[in-house]
Amino acid sequence: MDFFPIILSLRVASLSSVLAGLFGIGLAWLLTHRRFPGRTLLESVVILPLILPPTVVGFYLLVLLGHSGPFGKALEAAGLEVIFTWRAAVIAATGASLPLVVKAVQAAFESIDPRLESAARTLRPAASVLFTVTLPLAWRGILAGLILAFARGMGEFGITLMLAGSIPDRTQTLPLAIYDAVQSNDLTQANALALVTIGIITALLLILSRLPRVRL
Amino acid sequence: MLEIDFEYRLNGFTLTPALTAERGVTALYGPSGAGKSLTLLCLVGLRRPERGWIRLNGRTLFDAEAGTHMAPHLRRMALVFQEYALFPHMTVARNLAYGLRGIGRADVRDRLDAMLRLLRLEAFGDRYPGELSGGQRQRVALGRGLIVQPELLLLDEPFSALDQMERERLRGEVLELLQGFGGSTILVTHNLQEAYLMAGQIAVIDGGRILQSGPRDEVLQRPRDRRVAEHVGATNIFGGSVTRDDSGSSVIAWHGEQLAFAGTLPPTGSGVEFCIRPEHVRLVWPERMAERANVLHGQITAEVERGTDYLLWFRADGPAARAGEIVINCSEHLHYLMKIQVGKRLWISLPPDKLHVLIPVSAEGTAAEVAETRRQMGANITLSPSSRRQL
Repeated sequence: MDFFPIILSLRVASLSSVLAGLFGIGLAWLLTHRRFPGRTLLESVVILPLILPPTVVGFYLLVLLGHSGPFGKALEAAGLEVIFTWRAAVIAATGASLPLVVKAVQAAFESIDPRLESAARTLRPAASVLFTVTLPLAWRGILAGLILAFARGMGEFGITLMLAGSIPDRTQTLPLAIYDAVQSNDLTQANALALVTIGIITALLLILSRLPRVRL
Repeated sequence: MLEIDFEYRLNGFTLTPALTAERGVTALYGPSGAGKSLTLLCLVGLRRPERGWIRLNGRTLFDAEAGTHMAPHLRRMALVFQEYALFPHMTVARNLAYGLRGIGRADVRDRLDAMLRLLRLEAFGDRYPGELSGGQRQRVALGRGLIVQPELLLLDEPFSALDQMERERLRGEVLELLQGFGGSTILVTHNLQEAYLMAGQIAVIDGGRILQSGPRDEVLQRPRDRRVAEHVGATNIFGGSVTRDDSGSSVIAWHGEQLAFAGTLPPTGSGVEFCIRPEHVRLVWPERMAERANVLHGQITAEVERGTDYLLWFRADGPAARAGEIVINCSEHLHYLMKIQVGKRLWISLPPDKLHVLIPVSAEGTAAEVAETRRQMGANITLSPSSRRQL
């Protein structure tokens, strides 16, 4: 069995869930704690990857990050190769899982009694309140968001195919490798990889269901 | 001393509270939606007004023109929502010490111990809020604010979630804890009794504006205008006009009656709006009638028993019936002695020193309010059967 897709997918999903976690928590905080013009627009844009076909998202990311795209040129100037590398797979997975994190964390933030944060805010600066009150009280939601993000990262197919390609031993993640195996009629390989995927996701779900409840 | 005068707009609601609060407890009293909690959020700096200023003991915390908007934790204010706003993931000790920053570990320890002693919670430092009783939680919430020695303590509807007995006990406890506090306190409440019991000053707020503020008795006994009178329970509000009686003294002409008034009335011929509190209307024994001023004959049309006292609705005979019903608060004892019941005919007196003349709302109100006052002039507010049951 080829272990490369397993290692790559674990790496991509870990990195992308950390990235989606950081951006997602920040966005969720903005959306729940600040009123500003364009708030609704931002919320809609964040949700887009969840609604749009992955190929469409992938296509526009390719346009943006490609050699002639605005970000692609900047990245190239910085000597960072993105398109058709593992980095592109990370970006694809991050974009796909960001809405999941934002939604989960947003719900967790909204379930916190706003009076707790108001009372805290009169006693400490905003950043301190975020780390001592908001995040600790939302940790279940945050963890759930991260696990969903990881699962989504493990399963990302469409955007990754558009942005990173399916280059064996370079950018071929688990789902792509399974597809590739089926295409070349290697059902044993496809079955093995699929079982590994099921194992990883099941383990995650077990963790998610066994999270202790926060003491209230 | 807290001085505020600002304007904050939110979804078509304009909040323009102007208020000076001295040391001691000031109640910010008004109905739901009056802008009480929003005023608190502006005070602590969680909302930024568009115009005006906020000053506390000479320090400018907010000034729209100068662009000053101090961060909430630098304002030396503490916001207390009793009972429910404790951090559930922290122990009592960590809750209390939350605002103690920038001082040495030993100082934190000392102040924490002193506060636990003051709150009578020495044994509870390591407990979580979920393990405390309602009263203990409320003490911790108050202690978390007091421990930072704020200049202004803000209590937002502290007792509204409690039952009557618990509420009375906790009010006493809070007053006790506040005795050692040298700053100002603002108590937000929609309960008049609570405002009266806990505060030396009352500020009546409605529609985003402070309608009247001052010592509690002055606000209750001498409401400025009709709106304040309604809010502070001076239920009997009437319109009349100033005239002279046979002896040449100024009296209020009111539906064929001439009411003597103890204070100074506006010039003869002007319209006046006046009120009398239900507990100030006297029931008169027939044989004492000659000794009383402003007596009216009529009958009791409705009554509500309220445990220790009664609310009665009285309709006068003759032209004064057009004034509508007069609400009377009468003790159970007197109710028994006079054999009061619905349909009973009797005499009542409106003591001249208990009548209070209101400033027409139009003197400071908007055009719409003027129209509303004119419409209501001369007619007592009419109580519907449903509002009677609520009393």
